[in-house]
Amino acid sequence: MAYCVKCGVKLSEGTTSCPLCQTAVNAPNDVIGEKSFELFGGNTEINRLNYPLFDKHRKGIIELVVTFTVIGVITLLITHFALSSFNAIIPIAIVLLGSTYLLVGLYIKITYVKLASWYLLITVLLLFVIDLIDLKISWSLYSNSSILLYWVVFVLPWIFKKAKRTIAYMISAFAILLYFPFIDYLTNGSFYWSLSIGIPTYIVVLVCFLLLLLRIRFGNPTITDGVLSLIAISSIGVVAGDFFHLRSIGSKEGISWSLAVAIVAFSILLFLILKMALRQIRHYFHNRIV
Amino acid sequence: MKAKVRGDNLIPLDNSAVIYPPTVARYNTHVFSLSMDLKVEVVKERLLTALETIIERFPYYGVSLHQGFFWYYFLPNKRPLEVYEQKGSPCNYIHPRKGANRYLFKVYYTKHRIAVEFFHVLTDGTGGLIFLKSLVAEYLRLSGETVGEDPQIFLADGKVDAREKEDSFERFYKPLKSVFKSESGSFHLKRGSLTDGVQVLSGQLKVEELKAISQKYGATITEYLVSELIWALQQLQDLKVKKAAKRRPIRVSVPVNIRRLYDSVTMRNFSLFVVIGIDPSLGFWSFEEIVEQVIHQLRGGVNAKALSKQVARNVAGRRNFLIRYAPNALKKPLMKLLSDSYGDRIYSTTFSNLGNVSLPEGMADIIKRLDFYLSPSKTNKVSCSAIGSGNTISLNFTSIFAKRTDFERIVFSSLVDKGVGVKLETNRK
Repeated sequence: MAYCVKCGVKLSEGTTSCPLCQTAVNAPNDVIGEKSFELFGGNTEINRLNYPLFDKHRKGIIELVVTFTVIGVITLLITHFALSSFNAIIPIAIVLLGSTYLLVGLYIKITYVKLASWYLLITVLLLFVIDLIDLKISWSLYSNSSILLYWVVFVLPWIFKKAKRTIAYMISAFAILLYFPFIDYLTNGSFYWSLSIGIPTYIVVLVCFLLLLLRIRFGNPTITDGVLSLIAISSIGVVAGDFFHLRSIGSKEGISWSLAVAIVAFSILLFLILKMALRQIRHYFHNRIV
Repeated sequence: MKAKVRGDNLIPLDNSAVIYPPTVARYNTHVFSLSMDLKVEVVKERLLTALETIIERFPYYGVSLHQGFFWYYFLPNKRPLEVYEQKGSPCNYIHPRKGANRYLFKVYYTKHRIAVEFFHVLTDGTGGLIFLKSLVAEYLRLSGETVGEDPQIFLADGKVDAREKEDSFERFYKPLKSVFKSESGSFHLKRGSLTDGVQVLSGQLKVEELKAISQKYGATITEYLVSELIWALQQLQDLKVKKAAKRRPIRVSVPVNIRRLYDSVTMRNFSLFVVIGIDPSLGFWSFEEIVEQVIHQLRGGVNAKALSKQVARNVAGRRNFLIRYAPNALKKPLMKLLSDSYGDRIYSTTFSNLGNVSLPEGMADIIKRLDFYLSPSKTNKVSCSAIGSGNTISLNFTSIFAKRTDFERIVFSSLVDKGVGVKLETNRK
């Protein structure tokens, strides 16, 4: 039987490290002894099924939500039968979907992907049901396609493992590409602006982003460089939009109202290039072997 | 007709038990464990026979828990009893329906141990200890041993006293004004990964050594051990919270068996909590100052008049017309809120001392050691309990922290520093 040199407690036979401070026992085997007594025999076998699924706080809130939902649904049903002019079906669906917003957060394991996916799905259903009030699906197609795009861009990459996340980014880029013609077709019944303005502008911005990514990957830029690059990319996007718009209407002008923005973009780009060149020159003179 | 028979047999929960079923949770099982280690090997079949015999003397424990429209209630349970092999950790959740053939207690065995785990809804530590002593005595009798008489050992063929079934809170209830007073939240051990099985650190201490050091400070063993817990928590809070003004009160909840105070022999729950603490925002408390505070607060708190407020609080809620006739589904969240406001949140840990257990002739020679474990909770992740027999005291820490043991280390190291030898055992891997 040994003692812990740090805590001073006597350790039971066969113990090779102190359970309080994890200090290893440095003593001959005959001092440590052999395990003759076990506080609890066998391995820890916990019947997880025997545990209640939720802790007391969750259970309490779930019960409250369910109670208020039931009260709400009953009230709507009574009103439905009392007033012949009132149709309670859609309000009931809204109450049920509204309560699922609260319940989902309590039932699922709280991870960004799960929570975001469930909330977006319920929001899609809720908007769809509200849109159905006039028995016609109209505006919800815009909102729901935007939500879907949000899911593809901001949730999908986190479903992929870090090593394969590039595939998710490519899917996101492609989804944005499809989004323009979809919205265009939904509004005008034909591809009015998406093919001539939307997609070309998007491709210009995408190329600029790829260049920025390459710069980040190989150039080690500062935070200021990053912020300025983002401003430059936005400006180039605006200028590109103006340029492709003029092309689509057959104008002979290169750019019109976006001239000021183009000057901003040019100035930032010039500043960034000069800064990069200056750094290289400074680097050369600092590190040259005389 | 069937419903009428069911209604006749219906047993209401006692006034302190009503809080337990709605507040059970994954890390809050409300189960306590008592065990006796024997010098002889335990025979499973004989233990089961002993249990089947002795349960006749404890009809109030042979019940199942049911949820009514307004309240939970017990019904007599005639399903077969079972004994279970103890593995891994104590204080596991007892599911009211699937746990133990609907019984609310479980009898466990290992090669040399007989243990009983009670869902707190049935009884408190004193009731549990009497049951365990009676069960082990019956087991030893079946093994051919002669066990002497003891007031805490009920014989299988003994008469059941009607007072044992009573809800003593009802009998001693006196209406008082403003019994619901909420206190500020106290310091809690928070950081650390949690585990499902209760982690035990059990220290075996010599009674003489502990008594000597307690007497040096003019305290009883309970008062001294509570001071050690507060002392350790103060050090942990000092490490975490640098600004004194931001330090939270450190309070220890000490369950008190009030049967002797109120002249009750009930075998159901009849214990209350005295909450003892210090306010570290006032400055650093020396160990001597802590002991002084503990002695003052514990001795001042354990008297019938001081505790009558808690008796009133336990009963008043149930007597309230609105609460009484509110559906259980609405009452349950309310109970949870009450439990949070007046329960776990206001103290930092629990310390329960069942005292030195007397064992009669024929039993004292065979029993090697006694243990008592409390289930920790999500808020108070470490609980402490003590039980003594002969010249040894088991000081057991139960925790849901997977690895964190700093609290236990400070307490045990402090005891060693003061000359109290500690022999340590654990189920931690």
